[in-house]
Amino acid sequence: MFDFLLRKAGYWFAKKQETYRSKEPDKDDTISKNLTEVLNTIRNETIGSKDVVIREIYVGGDVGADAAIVYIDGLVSSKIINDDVIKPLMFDTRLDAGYAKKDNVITYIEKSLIAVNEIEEVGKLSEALNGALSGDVALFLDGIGRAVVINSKGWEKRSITEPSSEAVIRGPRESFIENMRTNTALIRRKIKNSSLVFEQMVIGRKTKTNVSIAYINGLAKPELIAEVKKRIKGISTDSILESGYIEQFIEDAPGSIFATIGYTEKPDVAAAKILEGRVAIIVDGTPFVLTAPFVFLESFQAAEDYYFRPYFATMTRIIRIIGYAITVLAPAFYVAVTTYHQELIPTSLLITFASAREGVPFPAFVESLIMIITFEILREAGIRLPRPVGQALSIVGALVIGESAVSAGLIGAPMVIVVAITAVSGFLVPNQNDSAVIMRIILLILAATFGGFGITMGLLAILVHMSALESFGYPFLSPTVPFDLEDSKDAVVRAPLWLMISRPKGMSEDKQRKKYKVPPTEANNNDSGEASS
Amino acid sequence: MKSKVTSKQLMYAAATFIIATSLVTKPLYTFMKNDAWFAVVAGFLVNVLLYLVYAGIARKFPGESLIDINDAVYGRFFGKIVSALYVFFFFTLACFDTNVISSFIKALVLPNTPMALILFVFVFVCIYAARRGPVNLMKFSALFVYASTAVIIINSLLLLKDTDLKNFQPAFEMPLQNYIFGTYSVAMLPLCDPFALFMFAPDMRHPKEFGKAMFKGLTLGAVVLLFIVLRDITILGRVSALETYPTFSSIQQIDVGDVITRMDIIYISILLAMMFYKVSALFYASVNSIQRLMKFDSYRFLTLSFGALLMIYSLAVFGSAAEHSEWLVGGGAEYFQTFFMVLLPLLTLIVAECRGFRSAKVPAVKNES
Amino acid sequence: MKRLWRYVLNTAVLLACLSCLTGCFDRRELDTLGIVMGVAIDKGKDEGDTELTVQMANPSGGKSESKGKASKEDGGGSSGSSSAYINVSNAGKNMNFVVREMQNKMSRRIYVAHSEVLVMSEELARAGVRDCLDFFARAAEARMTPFVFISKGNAKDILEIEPEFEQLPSMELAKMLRDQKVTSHAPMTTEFDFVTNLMSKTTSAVAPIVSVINDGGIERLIVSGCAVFKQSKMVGEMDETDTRGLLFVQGKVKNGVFLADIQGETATIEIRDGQCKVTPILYTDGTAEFNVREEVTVGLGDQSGTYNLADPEHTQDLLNASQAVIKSEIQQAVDKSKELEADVFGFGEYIYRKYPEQWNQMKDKWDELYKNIKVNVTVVAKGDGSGRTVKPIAPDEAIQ
Repeated sequence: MFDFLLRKAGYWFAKKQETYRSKEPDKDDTISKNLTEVLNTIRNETIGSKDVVIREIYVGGDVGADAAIVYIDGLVSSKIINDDVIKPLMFDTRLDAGYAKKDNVITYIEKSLIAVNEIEEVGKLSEALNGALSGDVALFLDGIGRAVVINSKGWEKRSITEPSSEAVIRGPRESFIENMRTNTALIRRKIKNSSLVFEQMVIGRKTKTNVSIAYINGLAKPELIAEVKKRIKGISTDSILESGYIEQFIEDAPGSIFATIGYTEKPDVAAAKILEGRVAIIVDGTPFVLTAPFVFLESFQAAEDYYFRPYFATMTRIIRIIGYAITVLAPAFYVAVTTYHQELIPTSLLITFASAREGVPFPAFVESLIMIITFEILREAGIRLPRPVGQALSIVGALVIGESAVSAGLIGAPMVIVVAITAVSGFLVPNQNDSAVIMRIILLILAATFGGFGITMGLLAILVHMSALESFGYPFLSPTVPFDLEDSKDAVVRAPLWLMISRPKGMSEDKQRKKYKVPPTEANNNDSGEASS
Repeated sequence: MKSKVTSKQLMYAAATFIIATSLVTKPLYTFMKNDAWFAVVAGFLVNVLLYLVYAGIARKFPGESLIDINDAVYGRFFGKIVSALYVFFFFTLACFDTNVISSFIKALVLPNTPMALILFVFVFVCIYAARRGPVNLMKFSALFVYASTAVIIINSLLLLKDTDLKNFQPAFEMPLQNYIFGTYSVAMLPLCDPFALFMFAPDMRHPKEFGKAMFKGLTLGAVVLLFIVLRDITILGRVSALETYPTFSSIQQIDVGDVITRMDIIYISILLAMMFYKVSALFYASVNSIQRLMKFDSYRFLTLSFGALLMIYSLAVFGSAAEHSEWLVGGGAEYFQTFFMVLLPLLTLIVAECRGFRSAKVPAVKNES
Repeated sequence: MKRLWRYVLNTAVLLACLSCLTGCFDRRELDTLGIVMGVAIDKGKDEGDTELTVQMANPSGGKSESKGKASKEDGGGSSGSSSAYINVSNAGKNMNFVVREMQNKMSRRIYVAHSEVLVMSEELARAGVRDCLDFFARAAEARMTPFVFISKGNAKDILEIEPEFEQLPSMELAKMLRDQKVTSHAPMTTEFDFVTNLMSKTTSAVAPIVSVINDGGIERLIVSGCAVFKQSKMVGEMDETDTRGLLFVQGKVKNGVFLADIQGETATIEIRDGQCKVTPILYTDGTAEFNVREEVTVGLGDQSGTYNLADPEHTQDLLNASQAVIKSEIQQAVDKSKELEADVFGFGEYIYRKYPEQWNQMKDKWDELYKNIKVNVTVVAKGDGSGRTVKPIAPDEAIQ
């Protein structure tokens, strides 16, 4: 239903947008043969930004052989420009003033002169400028209406550190960084396979962000790849600053509270998902990589589950699922039970609760609401505060505040415990924090108005909603809702690795994840050892 | 690729239908007292024959919904009449079940809330589920069956110490007509409700397996029903006739180590979930039937109005719980069900046979909803 | 624009429906409930009246040290010394009426779902209990889990005895009954069992008896023996030994002690386990005979004297003595029930199960036929150890 309303709103806004969108005047995109003209055009385009550097040189040192390089200071590595672009052009060439009339000048420059790893010839001014804005250096030659874009990227980037949001006890501690190329390299290091494909596109009218799609050819379904590409290409917006933008544009159910596209900050997680046949979307400028399709159960799977042994992994996973249930249901359950269904509480506990509630002015529902909102405020504040202060305002701080509130008579003691458990359990499944918070409040309101009946009907409605959700054609609640016993080996329990023989059904072309090693006998002696696929 | 209902899901759906009604098994005990288990077994056998009829119809018209079958078998005019009768039947069944669960909630859980509100919340979610489509509805049938069976087994285990095998005796010493009527009652009431699943046949992946899926579902449901009945008899003995909700009373007695007490909430939740499923499916069946009957393009716009009708009808259908009990126990419920779920399908099968429809390759009338 | 109107109208209707949610009917805040822990029913002063006393937990009182001292000692107001429970009484004709009208006296809503005990006075029991119990069986809120007691004297007084361990007298009483399994001198009857038996035509219901004794200056409750009902009227009582005999036949004795005279010395024998099987035999002339076979496991609790009962050679003495004692207890129970003409054992039901056709003719006359039934009691005892020591505390020469 929210989908419906949102779509209606969207159409309405889109209609208005058509009239308001600024018409960008058509520009002349050719590179003029006159160098001065070109440079003037560039200066106008960049409106005199001080970081756009235009360096004019004489090719071969010969006066009259004009050329200029354009680059953006800060994006480039000066060493490359000095040593590998300017120096060869000035000193190492036999070109002279009349070079523009020679044949194949650009080819000569590209292939014999500039010793840089990536070089491209372009014919349009916009392409040259894009190159410059991306950190390359654009070389303009007088008399030749084409430019050469030379790779010289060398900006400051963060070093590869531990992931900030997905800490692990066991497993690699690398995390993606903001640089797309480094990220793709990190994935390459995990999957040394020539079938691993990185397709690239540029999205965002003004930001022109590079977006890379990674998949393994032969594992990922062609329909999936095509659908992902189609949706991304369909994005028509000015800015793509983070993968979240892309996620919100291409997801299946924008009106639902559940995310149908996953994200991760760790290369090993991304690699594992690619190996299952999923598609990873890497966006330049953010360390968070999207993965599609995404099922609800993935939020309960952590990377470490696979590095630990099955019993412990299974137990931890079950605890996570229980934690999610607690975080969503605890306040609602408390309110429902103490307000409507007192017969469900063991008698001695009931008397304790009752004595705790004596003298508290607010009804249980208001109490819960106040505590939940307070906790969300504290949590958000804890993230934004500077490091040293943030530690103090941790969960312990929140509990202390709760204690004081109890002493002041504002809330009852059981409420503090309930909210504390809710809050702590919420951190077990950080991926689903957004949906958990909203569900918590909805179920709380339902519980306050209809008691246990309300909670049950609310859960049923959520179940119906979730089972209808699909992520790129893949059911959101598999393997539970179209029930599949084989896929459940990785759902609530984590089956031992030697049992995880197949990939999730329907997700990839190649079902067999692993072939059993056949022990060597006389008959098989001439087999070279079977490698896992 | 639009996903379709698999036959396994259909089987679980059939079982869910049966289990839903089984959880409120008052009428059984009135006639059969502690021989109710016999009624279940006998009723199951009777239903096997009945399901052969359903399977026969399904085989002749694979992948067709009931409305289209009626049109084909009876001709355009009579077919519409029969279809209209079915619409009435499905809708009324949905109302009965809504009434059952709402009265239950009102009596035991929320006594002061006006019935209209309880109905509103319940029907609202059912409408939502029906709107989401039949495929969606079938998806979580398996989940419900597993959940409810697990709950029933756990409850029974917890009640083990209160069971008394002596409660089975004396056996077989009531007059014969009691047995016949009891069997008839069981055969009609819980066990042949899955008939409504015919309306989901067009969305199946392998429509030919409809009959087999129904059989398996019937067996599964009957086994669970038998289990419930056995447990109730051993615990309640002859008091079961006193209670309005015998299963509920037996669960109230659970008291293990003073810690695991008051488990009724789980029972209520499961009952709610099962009834919700059944009502949603029946509601979808009736609305879809209307859509096909009137040759509309989609059934979605009908859901809201018919949902409101469902609410009002449920409020009005019985004057009080006492009337409802009377209806269930020999007041007419069995005959009502018999007419629609035995006589009409039997008639359809016979006429189809006579008119020469073999296991046909009749192209299914496409009605994408 | 027409579509817009439709949406507006739809939303308006929906919002109108939501407005009835402002009531949140059925909502009961915890601090508006008077949680009833125990109920006492007496015969009222006026003719035909019953007096109902409910004992409610007072959550704000008796929290820390105080064990529920009566609030009349202090002037009230200081929180640590107010009572942990409050008893309120009301009288009237029908139970539901009385309960509801009691609300006039209280600031909290009566909430009976957590009730643990239901005490009825002997006076009321002899007049008939069915009318009182109807409310408790019918109300949705009232579960059938509380224990039923019959009190000697006023039921109200039972709920006023200072509890020693628990916060409330009701809880103390309930726990006392739960602990009866250690001695097996009183039946653990819940309302459910009681009502079930009341519904039977021939079986008599029983309920434990609770009375107040003066135990060296302190008033204490004691639970032992049971009251026997016929058709919802109390007709007599059975003392401790009779009750245990009854429990033996029901197979509910799992623990208990008794004294046995062996070789001139008294020994305490512990019952460790017990099972019972009753087989009815119906003769063609209508007389009924019941074979009661009780299998007990006994162990030596303590002994006096030097006759070593733990010695395997003397075990047979032990077992013989046990069998004799238990048999006599059961026989005593049977005799008492015959005297009261009340079929507490449910023998009628046994006949019904095995000979249903004949039972149909017999059941109306069961009261008379009951007097003439023959009960053959066989007790089979098994030995189960003698504790930590293998001989009495005496020098070896003195032991026999």
